[in-house]
Amino acid sequence: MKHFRKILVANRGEIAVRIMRTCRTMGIETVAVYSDFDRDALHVRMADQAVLIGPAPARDSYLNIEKIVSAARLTGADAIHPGYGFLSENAGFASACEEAGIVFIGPRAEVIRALGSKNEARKLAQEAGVPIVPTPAEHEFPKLIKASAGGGGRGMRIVRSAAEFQESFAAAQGEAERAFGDGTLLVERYIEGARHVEVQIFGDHHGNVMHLFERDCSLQRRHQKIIEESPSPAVTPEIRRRMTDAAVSLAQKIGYTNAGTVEFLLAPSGDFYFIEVNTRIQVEHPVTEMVTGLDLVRLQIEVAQGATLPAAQPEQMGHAIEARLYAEDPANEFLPSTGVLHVWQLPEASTALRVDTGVEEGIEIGVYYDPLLAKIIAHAGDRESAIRKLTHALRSLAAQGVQTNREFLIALLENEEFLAGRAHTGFQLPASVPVDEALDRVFCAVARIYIERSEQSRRSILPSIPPRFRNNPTAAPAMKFAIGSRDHAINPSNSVLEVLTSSNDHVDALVFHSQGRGVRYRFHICQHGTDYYVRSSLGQRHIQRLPRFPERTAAGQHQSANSPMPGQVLRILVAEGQSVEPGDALVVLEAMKMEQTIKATIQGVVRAVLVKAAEVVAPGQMLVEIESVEDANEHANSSAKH
Amino acid sequence: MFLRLIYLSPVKPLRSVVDRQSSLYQANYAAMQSAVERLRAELKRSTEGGGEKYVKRHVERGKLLPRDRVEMLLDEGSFFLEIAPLAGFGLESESPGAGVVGGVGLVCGRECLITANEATVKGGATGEAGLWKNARLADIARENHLPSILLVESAGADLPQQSKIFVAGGRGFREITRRSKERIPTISVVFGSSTAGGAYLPGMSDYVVMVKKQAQVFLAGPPLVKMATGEVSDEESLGGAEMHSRISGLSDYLAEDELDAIRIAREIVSHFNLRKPDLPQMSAVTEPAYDPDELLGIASADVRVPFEIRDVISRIVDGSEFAEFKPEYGPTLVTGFARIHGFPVGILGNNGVLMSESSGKGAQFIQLCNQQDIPLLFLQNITGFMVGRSYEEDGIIRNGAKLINAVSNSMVPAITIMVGGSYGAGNYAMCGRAYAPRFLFTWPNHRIAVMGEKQLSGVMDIIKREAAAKTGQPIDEARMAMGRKMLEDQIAKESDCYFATARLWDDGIIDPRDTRTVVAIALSAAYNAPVKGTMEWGVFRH
Repeated sequence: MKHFRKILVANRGEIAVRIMRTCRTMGIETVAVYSDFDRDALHVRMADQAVLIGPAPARDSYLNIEKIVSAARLTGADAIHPGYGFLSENAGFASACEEAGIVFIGPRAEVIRALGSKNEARKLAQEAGVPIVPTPAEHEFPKLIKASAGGGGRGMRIVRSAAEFQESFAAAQGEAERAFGDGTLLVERYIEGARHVEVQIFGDHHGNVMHLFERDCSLQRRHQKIIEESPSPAVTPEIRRRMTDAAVSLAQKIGYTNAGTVEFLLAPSGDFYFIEVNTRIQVEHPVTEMVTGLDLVRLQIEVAQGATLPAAQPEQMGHAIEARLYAEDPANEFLPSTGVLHVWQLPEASTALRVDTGVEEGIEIGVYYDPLLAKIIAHAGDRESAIRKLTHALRSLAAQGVQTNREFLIALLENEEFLAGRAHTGFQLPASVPVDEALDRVFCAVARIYIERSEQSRRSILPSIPPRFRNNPTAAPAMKFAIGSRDHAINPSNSVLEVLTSSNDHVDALVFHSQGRGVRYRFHICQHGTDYYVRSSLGQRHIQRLPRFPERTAAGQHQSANSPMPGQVLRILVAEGQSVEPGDALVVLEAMKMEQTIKATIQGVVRAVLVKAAEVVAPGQMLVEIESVEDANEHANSSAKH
Repeated sequence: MFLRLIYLSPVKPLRSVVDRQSSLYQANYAAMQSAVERLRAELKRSTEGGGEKYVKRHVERGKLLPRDRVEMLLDEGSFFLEIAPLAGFGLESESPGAGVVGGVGLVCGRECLITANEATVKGGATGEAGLWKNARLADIARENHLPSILLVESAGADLPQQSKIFVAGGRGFREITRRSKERIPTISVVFGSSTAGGAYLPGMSDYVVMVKKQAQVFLAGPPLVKMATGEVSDEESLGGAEMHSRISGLSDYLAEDELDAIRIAREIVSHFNLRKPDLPQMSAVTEPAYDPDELLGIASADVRVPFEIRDVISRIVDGSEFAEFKPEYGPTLVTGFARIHGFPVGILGNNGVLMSESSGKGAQFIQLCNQQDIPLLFLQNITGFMVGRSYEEDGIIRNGAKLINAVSNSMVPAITIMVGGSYGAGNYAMCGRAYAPRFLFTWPNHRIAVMGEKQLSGVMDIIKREAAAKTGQPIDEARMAMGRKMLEDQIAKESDCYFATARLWDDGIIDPRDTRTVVAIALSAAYNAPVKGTMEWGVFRH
């Protein structure tokens, strides 16, 4: 059996960090690869060596096989761990490693290739006697249409009647063609109330295959898993036995090596159907680690080194549950949120509470990669306790500077259906957290006090006298703030808040929720320019201080077309000097795989086009500047006069 | 390695425990509390402008109220020490606050003197008390080298009062340009009418900002122009903001609206290269060891009852630390060094009637403070100099003159707080208004007169009787008693602190608990000008 001396981790973010952590405990050196964007990333600093592999877009860096293999050669790495995503399920990458004499930590290239095609995988499953989702009769509804080459829900449609079939089919085909360049569709029976349950499998190079029980990943948003747990609340010992047997026999049939996941749909009847095999470590692997006590990355490395799997089947101990914290905006269709992570406070470590993250306070969350900030995993003796622990951890976690799904996750974990273990893949997720106007005003009032006090203590003249002293009391003008799109004018006297103490990073105050005595809270405050990130156990808010004095309008009236979301410029449809009417298309952006056309809202002349095709733009970035017609005329007149 | 010298203050804190349960304390407290409540009520009234109707009309025109203009101009969280908020109080035909809001506050981190016309009363016209107040504000700007920001919206002179103000009113314009010469800038922000003589406010200023479609600045309005020359004009073309910004050049900045104008004023101040030339070594600030709230029970409600001035000092100075000078000598005048919000200060406080020894001690102490460039704080509670044959023989005049000589010629800034009575030559010796302290504030228990009303009416009674005796006229006791009572009532009324503050004898009545803060603001403001003591004095009569 060989021992790796150095492993290159062909990934970024939390999974790269997590893999390196295991390498450290095994005494194996690590090599990080990174893009320009990640030059200060945690995974780069954590590695013993690091190699820059290209610009920010993944196709030029983390998806560039040649550069990664050459980085491994350069540093003398004897194995590559691909993590998940990027090249982890790319058979070509596995082959390239093999050809370069570097061990690819994962299944063999041909296994990856075979399981990568949905049709072929279904065939293999059938051959191994694993049930697949039946093809429905012509008049049997509901049906599920999905792209053969697909993933992530794109090209997927549920059809409930014959009337809508044709239209849905055409739409799905178009979408699949655009997304994958392959319009091949599968039509399956749609199983109502099904859960997503998957079995972790492991195979070694000596013909042994074992399973590490199931994970339930039924809570999904747009086919993206957000909460995962093990064991599944819907899996009985009998189902577990049948399901794990099916997964193991499939793995044995295809000679599977290393870590893999066999995904099933579990119908309310207890019947289950094969979906696909993921030939890599999964995002949600920590829940399996928590219930089995194993380190799956260590097991992956050992198997790749040629070790034999342990003979004894591990026990399933207690209950583990994971939540994925994303930089995304629940109030804005969960679009990825970019910006600087100004506040990043992880929950206090306690027994069996794990946080896997690759981000740090002050880093930029860009548009280039998956916006996963952290996975928080809790383990306890029973499901209810594990959920409670996870909820508490999420509450005590602070992430500000970008929008996150934190509140949304908390709402999910507190949902009755979910708590009862009844949430299936079709579960209607709770609508985004309602706005609590009164509480927003409490937060703004805290910001106001903070501003007054910190300005006072910063100044050189009389910092020690009472703030805003008046010998003839006069009410101070309201301060204007915004939380999201809502403006709040906050007056100095506030009957719901009484400040006890304050410093440069917090305000302690009594909050009077209702009549009677106040409750004391500590509000932590982080200021960046006119942005205030305020948090307490009442929640967290990003508060913008609106200017005291309105911006002075420029001599001419201009309108600018701004990017509504992070994305990339696909096409520019106007040129400088061109006249535009309201509604004229100016720029086409691609954001979230959707095309978004930015239109003019006034009549005028394009003064400047401020972006180039293929440029990545941030939300709010100015794209095109338009001078209104009246001003343009005025300008011409005054020019004529001189 | 450097050893940082850390030493404990060698100054012992004063020991000043008051018995809150004593009947005297409680009676004083109750009286002072109701006096403070009345003060608050009067102050509140002073902020209400011309009343609901005019305020509403002003706001409906989209204009900011003068106090809101001031608030927007100030830094958020800044103090604002309003000067003479009750000027003109109780005077016939006077507006609240004499038609102008004025005080010291921070604009872009710099102490400025701000004035704003109360446009909701008589269109912001100035009467006699307004003239006094503006003159006083101009003094403060000049003496303390504070940039002035004038928020102008005034109909000019209150015409029915013109005889009281026309001639003297010219001084204000002279003052602006004389300050300019002394490198103390003035910014005029014109929000509305500023006509005739008032046009020279922007005219004399270093910087002028005018609000579009609001400012009207001309020597004569359209009716007068038509009368004079027959020319027909409208206000906007005659003296609007755009005309002055684009054509006449009287306006340096054309503001889109009021807030824009205030922003521009702040922008101008932010570029002033202001320094405090003689800022002293500041010490770390510790609050007094004793509760300032107790000042209400310490100060006598009846100014004839003396109280321990050290109990006041211990509640206004940093850490209650007071390094007393000559404690055993001339004990009726307490002198010593302390700090207030870090500023060094030499304190002179009355602990009884001024004697020869205490006068000499006071003069010596003022000389010491001048030697060290330390500002002075006078805590006045004085019935006057001691009278009587042996005191006259002892040279009470000669010795009192020493103190008045020192107070008159002292060059360090002085601040006076009237914490009780202020009678007779004691007012002079303890740096009363005529002795030009930089700031002078009073407590609500304060009474001021040449002497107490009973003494005064008694003296007059004796004089009348003597005169009657000389001419042999009979004395009508009933008339005498009535006359005496009337005089006593008149003097009592005129000794009242509201009577005083209405006439600008002080810069305002304050809540005693604010004394420490008010003195700190005054000291900080004073340091904008050079703080240099003198060693030159008039001839001391030894």
